[in-house]
Parts: sequence; structure tokens; C-alpha cells
Amino acid sequence: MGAIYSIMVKDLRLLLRDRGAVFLTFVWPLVLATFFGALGPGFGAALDDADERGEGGSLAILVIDEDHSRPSELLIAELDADPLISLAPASLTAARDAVRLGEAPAYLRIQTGFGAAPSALDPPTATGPDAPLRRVELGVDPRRGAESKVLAGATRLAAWRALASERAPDGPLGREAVAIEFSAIVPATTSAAGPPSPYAVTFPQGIIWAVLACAATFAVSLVEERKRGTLLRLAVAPVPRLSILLGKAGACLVAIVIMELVLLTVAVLGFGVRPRSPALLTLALASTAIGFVGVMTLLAVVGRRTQSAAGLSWAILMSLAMLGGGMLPLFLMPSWLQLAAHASPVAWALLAIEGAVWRDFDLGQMASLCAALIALGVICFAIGTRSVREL
Amino acid sequence: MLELADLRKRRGHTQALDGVSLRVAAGEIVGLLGPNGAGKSTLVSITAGLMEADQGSVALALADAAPGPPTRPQIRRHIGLAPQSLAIYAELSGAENLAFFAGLCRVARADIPARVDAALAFVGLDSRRDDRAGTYSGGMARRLNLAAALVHEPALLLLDEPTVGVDPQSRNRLLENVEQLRARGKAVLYTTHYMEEAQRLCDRVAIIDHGKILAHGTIDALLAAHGGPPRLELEFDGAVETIETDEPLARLQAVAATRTPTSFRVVRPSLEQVFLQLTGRTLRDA
Repeated sequence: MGAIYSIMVKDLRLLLRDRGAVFLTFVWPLVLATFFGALGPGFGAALDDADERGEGGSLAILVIDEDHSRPSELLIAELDADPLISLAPASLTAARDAVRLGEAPAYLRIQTGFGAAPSALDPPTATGPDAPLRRVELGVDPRRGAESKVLAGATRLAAWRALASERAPDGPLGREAVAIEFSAIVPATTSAAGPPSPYAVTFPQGIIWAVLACAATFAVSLVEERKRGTLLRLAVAPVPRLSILLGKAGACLVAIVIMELVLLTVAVLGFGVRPRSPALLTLALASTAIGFVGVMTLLAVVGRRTQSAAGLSWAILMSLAMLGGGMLPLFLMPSWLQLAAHASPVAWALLAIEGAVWRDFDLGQMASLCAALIALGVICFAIGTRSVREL
Repeated sequence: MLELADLRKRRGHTQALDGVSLRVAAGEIVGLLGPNGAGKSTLVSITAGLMEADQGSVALALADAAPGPPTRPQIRRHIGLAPQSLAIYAELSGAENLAFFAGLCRVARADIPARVDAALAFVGLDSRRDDRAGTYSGGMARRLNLAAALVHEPALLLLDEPTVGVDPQSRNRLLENVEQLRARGKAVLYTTHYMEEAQRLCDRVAIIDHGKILAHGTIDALLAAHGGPPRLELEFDGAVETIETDEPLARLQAVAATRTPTSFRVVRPSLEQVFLQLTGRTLRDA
């Protein structure tokens, strides 16, 4: 234990004396979380122009048609014809749960009276202040703001097309003729607590960046030891090779936990974020730390040179982050890649932390994510310990 | 103290060690000389427990522990290694470096400060103890590298080119330190390319090449066995004549009886001559 403790203390000291590593690990995630929180919920590439859809996959939207009118059916048909969007029918409760749990980016609820509402082409008596409106409830995952904007735009366009196809004989129809009142809600916050602060969305993402930065920093530390020759001294020391890896894992774990606590404290005290379940948040943060410490140990023993190890670590961690939806809206990816996103530990960690902060997860919903993260950490560490014998 | 018996090790297609046997006693410095690729590093690695030999044995006989191979951590605890590369942390101070290595080598926590102070004083770095190692000169860093190898008071020291790239003052200090270690009863296996260092320090020298020990013994014995006779160099009006002879004084008198040299000198065989005689003059890194 003494040797492990010595290595931990030494590695943390080395980290704190490397200004670049301190900035990357401790300051940058805080900047990210604060900056994007100030911009509003859901950071990632905004995509307002439908022409920019590219060759990405489709946005899987749950749809609830409560009106069952011809206009609502036409709207659904037009929306479904959009290659960017694929619709799946659902009940309102199921749709809200799916969005809250992060399983679907959004749902569209076409409320009763949608078909009966007049358009701008109808006589003025029908379009007075008391006339019924076309009401659509858009339930969005706040982490996926880009998708919700696309969806709102696509819905307006589809509604116009639907109405235009009905009134084609009357001549051209302006888009302003089809007014839709969107009520965007966040399913997780339908309680009296109100909508979550944007920071409740961005701080979990900041924590993930901090964890990735810590993992990447420590992943190269073993290669650095080799480069400076100290690995030889560590190897000659009367300690099992496993202790070397345990010491580095311990230092990484401490750094990650400190960073998580710092970010959480800033989020709570500085930005009013109120985690729904502190106990589940603790579980999520601990599981995330364990999972990524394990990934770090595996990456640490793979590299042989600083540049290749650093490049490999960042390449893998960034891939996991991208795949997990941390950098790019998932709907921009091909459908098979969206499916693969479920395999990204970044997605697991993000969902687990969000589950405790604002998604209202219960222990059962949290358990599978945390178990997957811990299992990942243990498996990676086990592989790492086998490789460390060859140092 | 250290006994290497018939060590054999194959690395890829090369027979890195081919039946090497060597002993180093307590209070003795044994020099290990050899050209690049001769097998020195493999020998040091096996002695330090970093790798295992294919055949043969390495045993350390210790006063306070049962003898055993260095692959066992209990035995490695009594070995100190100063690698050729500077194996220290530039971001840590000299004292922090030594405290870390002492802790790693299982020195009791309470004893670490005293051990660190003693090691720093030994290599003359006590006045710079709290400065980061990255600010040290090359010579100071070399001395810290040595201190890190001995802070846990090992019985056997493996010093791999400990004076590479240092100024004469630091080099002299390092050599004095090694001599003091011998006086303290440490066994030292000293790898070097500097023949004058080996001649100054080593009680015995082993010359290794192609994985085999070509010659082994005291400096005088090696010189006698492989150095050839002393050379008498005589100068006559700018022309130099060289005579190899075991009795240079008698030959000088004989020559002087007929011709008077303007100057003369007797050149004793050197360890470098012995080394080149045994390992050849072909470049090994070409």
C-alpha cells in the first residue's frame, strides 16, 4: 500500500506542476460547462438549414395524434416523408418517458382541435383572437437542442405542405398562413420544479470532459515514465508491477473525483443546479470515475512513445465522446452509428449523471448504466494488469 | 554478495549472454567493460531482476535476508540502480525525488527524511534540496541520479555509466562517491566506457563482448595477461623509435651506450589497449 500511495502522491504532484495539464483537466471543463450553459441548453452543432442535412441518419420522433383529423394525418404524412425524420406512434406517457430517459430525442403531440383551427386564408371571422389555434406539443430532450430546432422547422414546413395540398386549387399559399403554436416542454421537468437550468444540462457534459481530460492525461504518464527513464527505476523497485498501475489508477481516480466535486460545487453554488437525487448522483459519478480510470489503465499500457500514446488516447476518447453525442447531434450520424452510440461509455456516463441531475431516474434505471461503467473499468484494468507485466 | 553463474539469454536472433559467470563481493567494485551491443545492458537487466535468464542463475547473498534471485521483490529491495538515462522527475525537487524513491523501496515513513538528508549530503546537493531537479546542471542531475539509487541503502549498486556528460568537477565528485560506497561495504557493478574511470575505481574488471566474458581479473592481471610489454619510446633528433621490452631501464642503458637520445619515456600498457586487443578495433555502431 505504501508504494501505491507514494506513486499516487507523486503523480498528483506531477499533474499539479504541469500547467498545461492543470488547465486541460481542471479549468477547461469548467469553461466549457459555464460557457455553453450561458448559451442555453443543448450544445452541439446547430442545424437550422435543412439543406445541411447531408447524408446523416434520420431523427426518430415519437408522434401522438390526439386530433385524428385529416389535417393532422396530412401533417404526419408530410413529416414522415421528410428523409430527415422518421416517425413512430406512441402514447403520450410512453413518449414522455422515452424522452425523459434519453431514449428518444423528442416527441410531437398533435393536440385536439388541430384540424379545426382556421388558417389565414379563412374568413376574418374565423381567424379572430378567440379562434382555436393549431397546437403542437414538442417534448424535447434539452441536451439535444439542435434536433428540436430542426424538428420545429420541419413540422412547420410539413403543416404548410399539408394545407397547401388541400388548398392547391386556390393558388399559392404563404407559409405565414399556417400558424402553429408550439409549446416546447422538457418532459423531465413537468413537475412543479420548473424547467432545469441550462447549466443542469451543460455541467454533466463538463464533468464528462473533465473525466476524459483526466483519463487522457494519466494515460500518457506511463509512457512519460518510460521516456524519462524512471520506469526502469519503478520496475527495479521491490514492488509488484501491479502496484505501479494501481498507483497511477489511484492518482487518476483522485483527480477525477476532485474534478467532479469541483464542477458539482460550482454548478450547485454558482449556477443553481439542483440534482434531483444526490445519492444517485454519487453513484453515477463514482461509476463514471471507475469506468474511465479502467479505460485509462488500458490506454496507459498500450502506448510505447509519448506522441503515439497521447494521440491514441485522445483519438479513442474523442471517438467515444463523439459517438456518445458529446460533440455532434446524434441524428447527423448514419442510423447504424446512432445505434452504436449506445455502446459508448461516454453516453452511459452522461445519461447516468443526467439521470440523477434532471432526468428523474430511479435506481433501477440507473443500475444498468452504472453496472456497465463499472464492468468496463474492471475489464480494462484487468487487461491493463496483464500487459503491465511486460513493461 | 552477487553471484552470476553461467547466464544465458537469447534476444531475438542474438545470443545476448552466452555463459556469463561473475562475482561481486561486498566492498568491491567490479567494472563491466564492453563495446556497444556486447551484452552489458542485458546482464544489468537480469542482475536487477528486470528480466529472467534463459539459463543460469543470479543470487544475492545478504546479511539480513535469505539469498535469492532478484526477481523476488524482497531481494530487489537490496539493489540500487542508477541507469544511464537520468531517471529522475524534473518537476519534483531533489528531496521530493529521493523521498519518493525511498518510499517506493519500502523505507519506513519515519526514516525517509533522514535517509533523504543523508543521500543529498552524500552527493553534495543538500543546499539545493528544495529546488526542482529540472533546474539542476547536468552534473547535479547525475549526482541526484546516484543518490536516488542509494537512498534506500542497498547492498548492491548497479551503476550504468554514471558519469556520462558531466563536467570534470562533478565527475570527480561522483568517482569519490563511488569510492566511499566501497568503503561503506557496498558491492558495486560499474558499467562504463571510460577506461581511466575503471582503472581508478575498479578492483576487478570484466571485459565482455558477444555475450561472453573475454577477460576478467584485477587491472594488473589484465594488463599483464593482455596488454603486452611496456614500450620504451626514444627520440633522436625528432625521430621516435619504439622498443617493446619487459626491462625498459636495461634497454635504455644499452641504447644510450651507443647513441644518446634527446628524450625518452616508458609507456606502460593501458586498459584501453587491453580492451581494444580483446574486442578489436572494428566500429560496432557503424
